[in-house]
Amino acid sequence: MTLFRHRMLETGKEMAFEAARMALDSAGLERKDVDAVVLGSAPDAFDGFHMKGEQLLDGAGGFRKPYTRVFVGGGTGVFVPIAAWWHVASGLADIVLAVGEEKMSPLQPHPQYAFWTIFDQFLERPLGVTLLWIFALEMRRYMHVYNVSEEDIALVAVKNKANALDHPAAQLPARITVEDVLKSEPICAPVKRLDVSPTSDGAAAVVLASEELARKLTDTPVWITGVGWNVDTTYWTNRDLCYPEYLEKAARMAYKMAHITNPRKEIDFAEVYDPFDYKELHHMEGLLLAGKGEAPKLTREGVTQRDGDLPINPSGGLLGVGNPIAAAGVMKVAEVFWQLRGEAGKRQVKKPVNRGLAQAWGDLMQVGTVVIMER
Amino acid sequence: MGRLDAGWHGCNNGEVKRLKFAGTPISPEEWRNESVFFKKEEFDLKYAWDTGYAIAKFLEGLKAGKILGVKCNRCERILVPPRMFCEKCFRKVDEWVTLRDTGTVNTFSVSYVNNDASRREKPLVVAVIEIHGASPGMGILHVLGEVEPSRVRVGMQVKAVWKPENERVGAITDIAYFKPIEVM
Amino acid sequence: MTSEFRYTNSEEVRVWKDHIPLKYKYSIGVAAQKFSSALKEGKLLGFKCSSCSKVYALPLLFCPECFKEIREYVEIKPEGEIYSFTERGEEVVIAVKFPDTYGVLIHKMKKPLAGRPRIGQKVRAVFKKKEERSGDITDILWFELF
Repeated sequence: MTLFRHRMLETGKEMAFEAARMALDSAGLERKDVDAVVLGSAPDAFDGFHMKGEQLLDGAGGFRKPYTRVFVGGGTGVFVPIAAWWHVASGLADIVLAVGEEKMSPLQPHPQYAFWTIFDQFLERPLGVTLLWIFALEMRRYMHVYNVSEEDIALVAVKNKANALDHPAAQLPARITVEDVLKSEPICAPVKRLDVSPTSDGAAAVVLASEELARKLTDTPVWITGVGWNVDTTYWTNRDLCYPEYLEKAARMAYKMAHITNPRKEIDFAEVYDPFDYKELHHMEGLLLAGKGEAPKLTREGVTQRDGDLPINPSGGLLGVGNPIAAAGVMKVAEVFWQLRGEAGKRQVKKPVNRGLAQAWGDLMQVGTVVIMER
Repeated sequence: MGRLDAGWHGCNNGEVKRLKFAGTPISPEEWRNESVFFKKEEFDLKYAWDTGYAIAKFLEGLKAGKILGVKCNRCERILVPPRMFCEKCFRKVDEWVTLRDTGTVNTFSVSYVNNDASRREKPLVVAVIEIHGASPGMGILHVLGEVEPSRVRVGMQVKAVWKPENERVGAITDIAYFKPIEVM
Repeated sequence: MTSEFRYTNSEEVRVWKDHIPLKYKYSIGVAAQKFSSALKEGKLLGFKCSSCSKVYALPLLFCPECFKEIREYVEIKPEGEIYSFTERGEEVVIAVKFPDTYGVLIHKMKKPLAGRPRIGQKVRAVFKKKEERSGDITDILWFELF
């Protein structure tokens, strides 16, 4: 992966190249060895190229190869390895390069503006809707239904930003306190500045290989044993936002494939999508890693710390490392990979790990994408 | 088919390749002073969107001072915003229903920023309002007015405040905002 | 069971008009910094892949085919030939091929044209005055026959 930063000199193509090149180098492969390429990148409005997949193709190594772009908003980053998995699982390809890239910085005056274009043009845009509204509305609903306090939620931001201090590519690592979060500027109540991840430029990539090749190329491959994805209705105002149904369905799909019946016990650690701090809790529950309304308790008790029983976001998550939309999910998959191989350096979780999970989320509170990986 | 790989680290001679994180951050000064090369561009994309049958009728209803919904006889849900087909049963809906112009606040937020991240002069209270007459949980997005942000509660009962008839054009903004009604 | 829903009359089918204004400030990229600096100096820079030896008349951080970083730069003499062209009224858009270079550069011919353009004709770039250059591709004012 590249660094994740607010603005980078590199174009989207150049960032994709740096990440893809690094992935190939770490696998000892060349572009000619790659059978197919999958790329993910989020709304075209960020960098004004309305055929963004094709624009990034050369940087993703897709020149004259079977090439696919996938998109499910923020869920894209974990969806890219899933789509790459289809290529290998179907027998169509032996080696697939999966790249996630995002360049958010070009849109003026602020990248957030691009999100305005995902809302219903008749009934929502005329109200001056901003992306923050849907997060704030969901956060409020979650807090109300399960009686969760802003302090509970702030603990996630404190944990993840501290974890990010050990991530070499991180954009906003910091040592903050719950009070810092509570006192930070309200943007869209109850969302405050320190509850949110930044907008970023960045790219990340992984290489997938079929079983036979994987065993030839390394002594310690990491296997994808479960994939799941699910998208809910775009009529988001017709759903109760307190619980992500679509994520539970995606998780069950992945658990079934991986023969997991008790996720809380059988998943050793997880990289859970955290564009906002409350989302880590929301998603932990959707992933059945905690009962409804119980994720705050696990966080308070330190269970989700790196030395806890169920480490969550040892990388530092989006809150700490950064949020270049489609690249963020791939960063999480990379983190699970490094943790399982014992290569996460200072971020390595204390307990021995055999099975991890990476999850992303996106669109209008709609999509859950899940990947389960094992040694 | 066998198990599938998620990536690997190939160094059979035992030497670990250094992982290097590439990237050249642009400092705020370089951004402001443009001491590196930038290219600027502006587009103004203009659209004329067909509203479709369902939204067309919904907007006509708003112009007439009514909130309309539709009913799917198979799942028996009454849906708002109205749609031509029920997304669950995947069949055309059966009839139009006039709903009340009151509702219950399902969730709300107080926004201090505009959609381009600039600061608002006055905060805006936004909410998902479950419309009375529709199936439970059927909400629409709108704004609240005539209420102190700190007094808004989930579960609050609200009523639409309509623009005067001659100012209504067939838009969601024909409802200026929803205001709290007194609980009996 | 047929439903009553169908498009009735044109009064009810409505159109919603709105716009999406988008403003961009792109970083042109790491490779393009060199390309633009060269343009500012009145030069055309080629990017050479040390693996396949192709020289691209485009700012490229990496060779799309070999997927290796490009670290060699070659000055391209801005004289080439018309690879293809198209005319629209007074305006002639051309694709210029430079010798020993992979790919073509898209630009315009000087107006008014002295005679009809032909494929294979020799053309050379005319740059703006030094103080008017900004690093943009328009630092090349046009191509003229020679």
